[in-house]
Amino acid sequence: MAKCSVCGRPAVYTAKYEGKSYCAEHFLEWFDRRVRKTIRKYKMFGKKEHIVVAVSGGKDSLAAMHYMKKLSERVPGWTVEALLIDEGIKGYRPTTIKDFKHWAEKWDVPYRIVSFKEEIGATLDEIVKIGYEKGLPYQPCSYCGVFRRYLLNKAAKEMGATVLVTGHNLDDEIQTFIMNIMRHDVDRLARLGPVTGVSEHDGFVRRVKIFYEIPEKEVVVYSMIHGFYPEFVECPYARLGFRWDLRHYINLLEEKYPGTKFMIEKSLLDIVSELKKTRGVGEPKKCKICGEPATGDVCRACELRMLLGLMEPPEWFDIGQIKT
Amino acid sequence: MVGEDKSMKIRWRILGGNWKEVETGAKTMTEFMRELSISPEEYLPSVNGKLVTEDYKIKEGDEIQFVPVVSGG
Repeated sequence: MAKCSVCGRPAVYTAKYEGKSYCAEHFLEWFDRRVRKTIRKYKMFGKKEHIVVAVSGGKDSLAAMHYMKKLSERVPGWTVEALLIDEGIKGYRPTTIKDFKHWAEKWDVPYRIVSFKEEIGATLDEIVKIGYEKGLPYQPCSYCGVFRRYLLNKAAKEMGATVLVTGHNLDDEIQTFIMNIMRHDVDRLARLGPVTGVSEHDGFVRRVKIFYEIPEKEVVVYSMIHGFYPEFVECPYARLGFRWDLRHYINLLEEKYPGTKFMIEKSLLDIVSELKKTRGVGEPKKCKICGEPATGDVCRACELRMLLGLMEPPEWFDIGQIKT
Repeated sequence: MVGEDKSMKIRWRILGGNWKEVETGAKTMTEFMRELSISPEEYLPSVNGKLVTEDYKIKEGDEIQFVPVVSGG
């Protein structure tokens, strides 16, 4: 069995892309060193921050909450809270909420739970049903993504967050990058990166991805070593999304050509940097209905709510102008 | 072909799934995963509850669990 490249003890993980193996202790050191390097490189935090971690109860966001809690204990000016969005997905979300509460309480992280039902007017299960009945052309993940981002920003502001941490890892980021290319959505592509949200705009809470340079597999190793790898439950809508197929193809390439994922991310960073110079990311406006950030007059969350019949359109708004 | 000499009985499962018992001639975890068509990019192998690397030499009586890397959300 492979030996730890640092101490020679039995290894628990081999990073094929760098040809090194690590025991549990040295894996954690190596993991921590790289996350701290990412945080420094992209200037993710200042000396005084109220950090809100977006947590779903899955392993990536639990790892982000665990990591930030531990790191904040070494920085006197930082406070950490967690925020969970309950979309209302029967048979899935209740289990992850249970895990989330268990670990938040154990690690002494204050938290808030915000639900689609209360804030949007329907659970995701209800939204999917309404969308189907109305013949809307969206996948469940499209509604979920729009409403979740909307509520994360809104609730984080209400919690007084100066920065919102998400558990997105290297795999998540390159999947989104390739999905945007395949959909020819260059505007969204230009908004990718380790730090997102327009910091100068008072409607946005800056978002940072502390695991930006960490493959998903290594987040699993981190959670296994620390003993909080959650019970595996799968979102009933996950396999319907484009992402599900794409990540499988990227994994096949990584298996055959180790290091592929890092190279894709490097390309992403170069392309996004060029795009920001030539196209800009667009000056965000305030949604004329809810006041949250929007790229047009009305934000996407309000548009979807009107299409779903969860909100009456204002008199001045023509629902026919919404792009579907 | 990997595993022609099926001389060893191994209990295995995907974490959270049901235990299965197979006879295998695989010598290493890499060979065993290939036999089961389990991608090392999508599952991490553990033996008797501990993570192992793919070159781990399989022994009779090992209980092997594959930990899903891909989250279900």
